[in-house]
Amino acid sequence: MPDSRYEYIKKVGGGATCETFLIKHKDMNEYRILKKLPVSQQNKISFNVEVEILKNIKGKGIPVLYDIAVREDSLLIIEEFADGKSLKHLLEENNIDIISALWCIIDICHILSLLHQNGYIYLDIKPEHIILCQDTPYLIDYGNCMVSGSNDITMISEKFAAPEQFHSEPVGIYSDIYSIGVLLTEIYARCSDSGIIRRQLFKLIETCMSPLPEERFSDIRSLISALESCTKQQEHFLCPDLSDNYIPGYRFSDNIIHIYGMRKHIGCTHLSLALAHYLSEIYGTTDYICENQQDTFLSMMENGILKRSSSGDLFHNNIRVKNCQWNYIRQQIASRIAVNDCGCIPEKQINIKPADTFGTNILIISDAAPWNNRRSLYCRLKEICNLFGDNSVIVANFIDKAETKKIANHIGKKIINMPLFDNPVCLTRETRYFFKQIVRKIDFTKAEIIRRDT
Amino acid sequence: MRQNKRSPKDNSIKKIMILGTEPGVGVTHFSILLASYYVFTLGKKVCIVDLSDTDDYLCMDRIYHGDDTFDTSDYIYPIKKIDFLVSSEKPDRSELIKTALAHNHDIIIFDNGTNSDHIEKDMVMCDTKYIIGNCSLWKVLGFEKQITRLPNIHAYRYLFAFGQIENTDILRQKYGIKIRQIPYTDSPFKIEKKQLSELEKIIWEE
Repeated sequence: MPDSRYEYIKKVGGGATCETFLIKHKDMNEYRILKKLPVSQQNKISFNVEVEILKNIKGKGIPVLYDIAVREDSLLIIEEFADGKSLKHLLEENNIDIISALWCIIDICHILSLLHQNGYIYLDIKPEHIILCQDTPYLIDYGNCMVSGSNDITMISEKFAAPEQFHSEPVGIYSDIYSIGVLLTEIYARCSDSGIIRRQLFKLIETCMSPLPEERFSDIRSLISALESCTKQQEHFLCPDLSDNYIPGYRFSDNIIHIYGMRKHIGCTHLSLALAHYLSEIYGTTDYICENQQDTFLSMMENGILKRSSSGDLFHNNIRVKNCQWNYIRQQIASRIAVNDCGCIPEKQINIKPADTFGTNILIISDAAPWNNRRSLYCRLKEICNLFGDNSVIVANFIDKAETKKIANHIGKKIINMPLFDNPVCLTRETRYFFKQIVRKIDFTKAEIIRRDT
Repeated sequence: MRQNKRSPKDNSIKKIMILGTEPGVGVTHFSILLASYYVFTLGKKVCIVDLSDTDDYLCMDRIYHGDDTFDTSDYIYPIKKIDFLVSSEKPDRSELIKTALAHNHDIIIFDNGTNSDHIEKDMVMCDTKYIIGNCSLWKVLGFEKQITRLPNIHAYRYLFAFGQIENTDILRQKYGIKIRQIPYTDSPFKIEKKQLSELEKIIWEE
C-alpha cells in the first residue's frame, strides 16, 4: 500500500508495463485506483506524462489525480475509481444499443479534444479503456500518451493502432481519429439493434480509417459533428456495391476462404499465406486477412516484409495484407478472392462468422502430437465438421498418412495431408499439387483466372 | 521411482537445457527427440524435467497411463524407456532439479519451455544449452530480439524447427552464431535414418 491511509481491496488489471489495484481510503470510505509501475526509463517517461495530464487537464470523464509516489522500485499513481462496466464488457454482453454507444464515443471524443488542445495524443483507444460510470464515459489509462508529432512509440494495441504507429512515423490527432474509427467498427458490428444501419456511419468509419492521415478528419470537432448527425439518422442503410449476399455490417469478396486451426501454433498463418500466394498466381491479387489472436500482422510490419502501395494498402508480393475483417470492407477493394486467417478455434466456442452461411469455404487443420488427447481431438473435430457442414475442407498438418486415414474414417470425411514446406512464398511441385486438391473443392464464382496452373 | 541415488553434485551426469523463444517453436518435441536419440541410439538413461509453464508432459502421462495420479506432487513416469519428471502442482523449480539430479540418470534434459527467468543459473549448471526459435518470415525478428537478450550469446546452440534457413543468414552474419534446423519427425519417439545424421550434427557440433 502507498501508505496506511489506504486499504488493499483487489487487483483489477495488469498489463505489460503496470499493475492496477482497487484500494479504499479508510477515512473517506472511498474507492480509488492505484497504478503501480516498475521503475524503468520508459516507465518514468510514461509516469511523468500521465501525471502531467491528470494534474493539468480537468474535464468530465478524466479521472481525478489524488496522489503520486516515487519509490526506489516503483512509481505509484492514485486516481479516481470509475465504478462501471467497460465498453468492451457492454459490447460482449450485447448490453448497449447503437445510439447509446455513439453518444459514448462522442463524449470520449470531447475528452480527446481536451487532450489535443493541450498538445497530447492519446494513442491507446480501445473498448477496455472506456468505462461507463452512470452514463458518464470515463477514458482511463493515459500511460501511452505522447506529445503531438512524436514518433517515439513503444507499446501499441495492434488492432486499434493507426498505420503510422506501426512504422514509428510521426503521430498526431489523425492517429486518435483512426483508432476511433476502429472502435466504431466494433460498435457497428456488435450492437443489438444493428438492423438499423446508417450510410453516414459507414462512410464516417471509412474516413476515419483511411490509411493516409491527410484523408481522415482534420480534427476531432469534425468527427464529433459527423457522429452527432449519425445519431439523428434513422434511415435503413444499404451499401451500394453489395451483391444479393448482404449482411449488415459486412461486405465480402465473392470468394472468401476462412482458415481455422484446431489449436494454436498449428500452421494457420503458414497455410493462409501459402494459399494466398498460390491463388494470386492463378487469379491475380488476393487478400490475406489477419484475424488470428496472435501478433502476426504486427510481426509482419516489424519484420519489414510488407510494402505500402500508392493507395495505402500493404502488400507482400502479390498479396494484399489486411489486419482484421473491417479493413476489408472499404470500397477500394479490388481482389475477388480473400484468405482469412482466423487462427485457433477457442476451446469453448466456435466463432462462426455470418459469412459462413452464405457459401464461403472453410479449412480446418488438425494435428496429433503425443501430448494431445486423440479422443478429445476426434470428438471436437466431429463437432466442428457438423457445424461447418459440407462446405468445408479438412487439412492435416504434422500427422502421418496412416493416422490421417484413421481420423478420416472416424469422422467420415476426406482429409488432405499438408506437405512439409518451409517457405510459404516459394511453392514447390508438391505444395502446388496440395493446393490444387484444395482449390478443386472450392467453387470460385466470379473470379477470372489469369493463369492456368499446369 | 528408481532407488539408486547419486549425489546431486555428481559431475558425470550430463545436463542439457532447452529454451524456446516463444510458444509453439517445438521445445517439447525437440526435448523428447533428443532424449530418444540418447536412449535408443546410445543406450543412455535419460530423464526429461518439465520446467515449462505448459502441461504437455502431464497430458502425455494421462494419455499413456490413464487418469490415476500419484500421491506426491513431483513424480517420474516412463514412456518408451524415457523418464519424465513432472509436477502435478505448481512446480518448485529448485526441488524438481534436486529430485532429477538425485536419480540414476546419465543425461538430464531440462525443458524450460519459454521460461527464461533462471537463464543465468542454467548457464552455470548445464553443459549444453539449446535455444529454439522460429525463422518464418514474420517471426525471425522476434528470434533475434530474444537472442540479444541472452547474457552470453555464444554460450548457446541455436536451433529452429519452422521457417527458412535463408532467414537465418542475417543472424549468422550479425552475431557470428550457427543456427541449425531441427529435422522434422512425425513422432519424437522415433528417429528415422534420414533424420539421424541431421540430429547428430546438432548434438555433436563443436
